[in-house]
Amino acid sequence: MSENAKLLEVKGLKVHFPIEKGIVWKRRVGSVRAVDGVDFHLSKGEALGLVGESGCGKSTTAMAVAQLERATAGQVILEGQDLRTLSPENLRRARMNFQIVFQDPYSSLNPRMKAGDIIAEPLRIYSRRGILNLTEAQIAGKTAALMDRCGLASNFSDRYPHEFSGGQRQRIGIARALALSPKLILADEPVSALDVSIQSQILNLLKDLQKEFDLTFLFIAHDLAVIEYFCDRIAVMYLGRIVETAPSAELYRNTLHPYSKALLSAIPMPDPAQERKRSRIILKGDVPSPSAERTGCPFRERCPVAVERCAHETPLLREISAGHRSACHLS
Amino acid sequence: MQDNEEILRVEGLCTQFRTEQGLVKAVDGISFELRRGQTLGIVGESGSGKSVANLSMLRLIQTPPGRVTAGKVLFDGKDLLTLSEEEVRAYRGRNIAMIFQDPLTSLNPVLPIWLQIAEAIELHHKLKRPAAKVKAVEMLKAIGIPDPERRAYDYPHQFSGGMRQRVMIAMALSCDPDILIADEPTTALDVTIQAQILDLIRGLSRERRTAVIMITHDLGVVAGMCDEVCVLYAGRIVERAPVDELFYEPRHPYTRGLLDSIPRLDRSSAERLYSIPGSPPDLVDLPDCCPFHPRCSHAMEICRHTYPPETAEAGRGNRTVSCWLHVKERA
Repeated sequence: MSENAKLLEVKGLKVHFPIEKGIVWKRRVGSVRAVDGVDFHLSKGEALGLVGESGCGKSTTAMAVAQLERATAGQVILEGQDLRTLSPENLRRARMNFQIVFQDPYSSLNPRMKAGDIIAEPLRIYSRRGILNLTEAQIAGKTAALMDRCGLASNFSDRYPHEFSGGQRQRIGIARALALSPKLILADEPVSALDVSIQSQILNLLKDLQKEFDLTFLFIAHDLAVIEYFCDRIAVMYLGRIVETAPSAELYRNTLHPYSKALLSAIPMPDPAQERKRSRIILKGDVPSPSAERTGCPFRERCPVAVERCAHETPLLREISAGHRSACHLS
Repeated sequence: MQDNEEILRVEGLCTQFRTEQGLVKAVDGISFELRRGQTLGIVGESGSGKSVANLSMLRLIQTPPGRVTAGKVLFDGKDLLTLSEEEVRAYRGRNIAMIFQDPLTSLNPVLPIWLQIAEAIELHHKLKRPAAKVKAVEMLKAIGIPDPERRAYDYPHQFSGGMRQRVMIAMALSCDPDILIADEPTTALDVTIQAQILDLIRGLSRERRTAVIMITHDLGVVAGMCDEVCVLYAGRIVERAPVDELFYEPRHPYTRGLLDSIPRLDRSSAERLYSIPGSPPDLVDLPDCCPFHPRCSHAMEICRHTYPPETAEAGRGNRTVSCWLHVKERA
């Protein structure tokens, strides 16, 4: 794994949101531990998938990496510099290297801007600030090339977002993210809002772009099949922590953590014969509240194989086989 | 009552919406029948008319702008579309119950859970409130709400998404309906909770011999739940088949394309995903062509100007497909 330089390294990332009481005199009565000690790294050209259920902290992790959410603790090191300690000016320069593709292609595009302007906006902002040195003609040329590359006809540049379908809007969002030639793309559920037949178009586009521009992806999704198709490595999150990480094929073939097992067995397969003979692990209850103070394994209340030790000793993420790590006492 | 007795027959159902842009034929001649204990899947992408078709059956389409323009919905020998509003109301909930995608907006936020379930029981079973309350708590117990005697007094916001959907199912089943229409019942839920809910519906339909119409866009859910499947595209059923035949020998190019474009965990992710080019058609003033022809790789001249007739295919169950490729003698 060390032959490739590490592009991004996240160490001990924590994002805690305060819970406050009182109307005038607010006092802090607790905190929601949305992300509670997450470590991972991304090598150049790699795609890492973060998967988990709603509320597990996967989006918050991405937003904290992007410095759009203030982390409580930890380091986010991109190409040797810790983004959390940069001055606003330096952070702006660093931002050119990482861009985001959002989940909802409806609310993430300004409805009053034309598609061409949306894609050109990052280039204009960076030119105005003197970080990039582009003339309006160069920006127009670059925008046209990006639209073409993302499968948008060039005469679409004068149209407004509402004139596009969901898939086309997501293409605009992708073109905008690519405008500054970033190295890292944070893709937060980029295909979850799309129909099945459109989803595969966007996944293929992202895969082609990854090869062409040597992009590194932090890919967030709740759909394990999508993640498995797109990513080289997968990290499964539960209640603000990574519980298992492994190369994609390995995670499916040799699942170690009981939560990953339950998650995999819960996914409906588009194959009736397989569906009939599968035995599902039906988890009891819901995900516990991330605000409660807890000791031991966060998964133990729902875990089908929990033992005495799980109640008082928090399992750490440890290497079981090469590149395969699990946070379970029993694996 | 016989086991495979037909309980619902829909013939040539058409629903149109008058909009500023023109006439939208949301549902354009849908026919199917449902047998006792059967689970019928209705699959389609957004805008294919799957929800409108089911709302039309229960006369829940708002008029104007929408209007059911043709067709019959035969239940118990009566055509639901010709009955008076009052007569239809007796069937809704009592014989045909519905659960919706979003359980939060379908529940009344200011009434306790038990009262909402008891309301339907009082109305349809002519029970007094105390007796209805006992039955409501019983229902909560049956669908696996922990501590039902206490939780019955909670309000919807105190329940999690999965539990709210369970409450919806309890309401739907409290009157022991003959048919349960589930409109994307698990789309808003996480996979592990989805597995719980699907398990519940499957068990109940087996125990009570309730016929289920399962509306979904998820082919994985269809594979695990349904006996027979209708594939909808632009307001029409393009293919109908028993579940195994649909998945293993899809006939319509759209069905085939849809199946090939889902990323799958049980297959290698090395190969590129297939994707259907283009996007679903605009339903405003759709001409009488095959609506799929602009996206179809087998499109012929005839597909561009005439809608293909429904062709019965040889098979174990009743299997039909609407595609010129399968019409033996082309006029």
